[in-house]
Amino acid sequence: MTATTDQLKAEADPPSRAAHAYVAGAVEYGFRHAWDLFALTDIGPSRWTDALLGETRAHLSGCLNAVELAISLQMGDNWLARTVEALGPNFCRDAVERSPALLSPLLVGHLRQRAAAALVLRTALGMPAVATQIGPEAAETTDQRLGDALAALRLSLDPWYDPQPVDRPMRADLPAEVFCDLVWTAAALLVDGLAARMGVDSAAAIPDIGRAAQAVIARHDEQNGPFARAVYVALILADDAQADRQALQAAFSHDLLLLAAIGARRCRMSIERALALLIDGNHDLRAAFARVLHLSDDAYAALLTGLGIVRDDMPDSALLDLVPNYQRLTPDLAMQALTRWSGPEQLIEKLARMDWSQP
Amino acid sequence: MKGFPPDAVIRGTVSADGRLITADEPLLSLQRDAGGSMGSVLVVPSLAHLVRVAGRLGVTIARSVIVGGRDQDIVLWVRIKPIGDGVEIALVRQRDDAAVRHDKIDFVAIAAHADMAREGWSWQVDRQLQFRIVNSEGSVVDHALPQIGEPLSAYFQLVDSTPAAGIPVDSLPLLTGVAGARPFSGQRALLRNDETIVYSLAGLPMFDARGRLTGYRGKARPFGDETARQPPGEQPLDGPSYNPVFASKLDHALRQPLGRIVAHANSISGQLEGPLRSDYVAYAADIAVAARHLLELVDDLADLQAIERPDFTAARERVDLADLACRAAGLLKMRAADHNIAIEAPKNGERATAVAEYRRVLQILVNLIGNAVRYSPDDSRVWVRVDEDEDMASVIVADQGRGIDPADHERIFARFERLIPDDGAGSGLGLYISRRLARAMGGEISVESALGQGSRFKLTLPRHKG
Repeated sequence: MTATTDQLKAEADPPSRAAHAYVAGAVEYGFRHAWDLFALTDIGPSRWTDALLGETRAHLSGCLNAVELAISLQMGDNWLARTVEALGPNFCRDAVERSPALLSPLLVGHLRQRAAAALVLRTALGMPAVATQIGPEAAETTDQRLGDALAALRLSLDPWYDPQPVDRPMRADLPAEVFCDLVWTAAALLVDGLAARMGVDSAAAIPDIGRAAQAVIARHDEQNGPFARAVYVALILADDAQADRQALQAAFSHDLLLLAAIGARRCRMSIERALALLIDGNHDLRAAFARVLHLSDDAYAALLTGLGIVRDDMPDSALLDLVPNYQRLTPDLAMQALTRWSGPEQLIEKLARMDWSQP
Repeated sequence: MKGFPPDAVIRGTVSADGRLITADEPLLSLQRDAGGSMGSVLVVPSLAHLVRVAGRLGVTIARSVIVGGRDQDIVLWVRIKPIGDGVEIALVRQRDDAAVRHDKIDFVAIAAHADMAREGWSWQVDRQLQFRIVNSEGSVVDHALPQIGEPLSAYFQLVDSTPAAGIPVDSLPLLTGVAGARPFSGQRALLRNDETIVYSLAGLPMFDARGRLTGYRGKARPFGDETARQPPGEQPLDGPSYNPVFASKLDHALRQPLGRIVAHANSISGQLEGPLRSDYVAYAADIAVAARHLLELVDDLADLQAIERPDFTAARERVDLADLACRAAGLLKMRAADHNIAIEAPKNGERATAVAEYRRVLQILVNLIGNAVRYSPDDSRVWVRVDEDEDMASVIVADQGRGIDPADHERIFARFERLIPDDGAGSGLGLYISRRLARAMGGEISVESALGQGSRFKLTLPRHKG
């Protein structure tokens, strides 16, 4: 008797091994979910105030709505596009709230910083309209390029001044890696939704949706995002004196992004690292950050007050008690305190996860 | 950077497999500085990383990067756009690189830390520079030490440092340090009670939990007479300029390249890649010998650095000197066999237990037996024996070499002295280090020898009384 191919295959891959593989896969899958959930709800030492959680959710929803729309439009007018349309508007937002584990730590981390910057911006006294914001700064500088860059930054921040309803699209002007992650998240949710709700075979949906998503990604230009624009402004500031003046103005206007970008430039760290220090760092680190930017006492107080909404760890009156300590801090000591945060990002991340030194 | 005009857009393209296909001259110059060329893989690290990300994700990337140029870092705004089978790069240099902060090496802090490790008496002052702690333990002080609470300026008179020709020197390092809450070193100071006594002060700032300066702790060491205060034969390696931090860096910087030189020279002399002319084989063997010699010197310097630290101590454990002597003899057996020298190690079953640090004793014995082999004539014999009395255990290494004049018996234990001057063998540090190690373990190394009668080195260590 000759063994058939199936028999041989069965002997080579007995049921017990297949079961083992299944269990291993499930464990791995479960672990990834657990990890993502952990990252979503508790990124190390991060605090989530109600305001910050709500704003992050608004940015996630808005960006996801925009990306879903872009993918749908990219697909053109065919049966699959019409089926996607039949899923209903903002399908991805609803779907992701049912499966938050699909969100990567990278995406959540960035949206949290973006939401924090938006919240702090909104607490600036007077909340100036975009026209009045662009005017004075552009008029103040004789450097045409700087004026243009500041105006571009203001324009990209403008939508953040108003609270965003979760059912509206928001410009997904994210850094490249984050944007890609968001687009592929939306694409996966659409493929899954088409299969579950419309009975569309994933083999038919994946190529079309994949192509559309890739086209959306190819059109993306991170240079137009507020993070990149803030970094660019910091980069073209002519000298330290001009950087100090812009930092002072940014502190008073609660422009966390520009402040972080200028500080990051000075301390040779990424803007994300600088934001993490401001949002999640302890009082000493925030004071050090302000001191290397030569912020005056009242600018420092303005910064602390602005950050209150995302930290919510001290009343405003107590925040002002920190100013005398700030007065005693020298720029040299401040730079020394920040030096350990200017290493390679991955190293700092790992050390923070080991609880070795929290921001 | 030369040839990298500010604000001009510099362009280039990179293929899907990461090769630089086209490039304007400044970009090509960066590539060359990093060790690449046109057509080779893009090797400028920060650019190559972004190119990979853009290629992998298929997305345009625009951000600032710092690129290490030949002379200085260059800050660039980089835009990388996927096109067809590769990516397009556009670079703009943004502003004067002089504004970029470079990581500075704080030589003052390094010097202050180095001075703290040197001999002298310790002090600690508060923020008002009043003495809080004074400790002269381990150093000879033949004058009154400051009283607690006495101001530093009342005890010392600070003296301007004299600048060396062409070298700018901070004339009052202590004041500069205190003003910036920074370390200082090399502050000359006279005792107010006896102005013939001159000290060199070094100090490190102390801070509280909030980062406020609380005072300084430091060392006062006699200025300019370090050699006079050392025991005979133990002069500092390099006078006042000997710096353990520098020695440590030197050690790391030299060991690896020397190891490579030895390995490559050995592979050439071993003709591993094919036959070579005999004179080339001999050159390679010479290179290997010379590099190995340098490597030994680096090892010795590293040891020297360790044993000269004031806080150097050796571990105390039970060791069998007979066993260690056999191991050391075994390590040198091949070298001895090259010259047909027989090493007679202690016999099986012999024991002499001592209290010492295992690896340090092994190091000493390798040095003693190695010297015996080195200075013994071919076809001779080296004896290694162990012995013990009530208090001490010992190892004796005897050879049939040319012997040492009794007048030189102490000289050979000094730094950079050799058994035979100008013989070019060894670093001249081996016996010095061995004796220092033996003394650190409560023992001694002595020599009995006369010209023409061979030598007999004896290592004694406290006997283990278990």
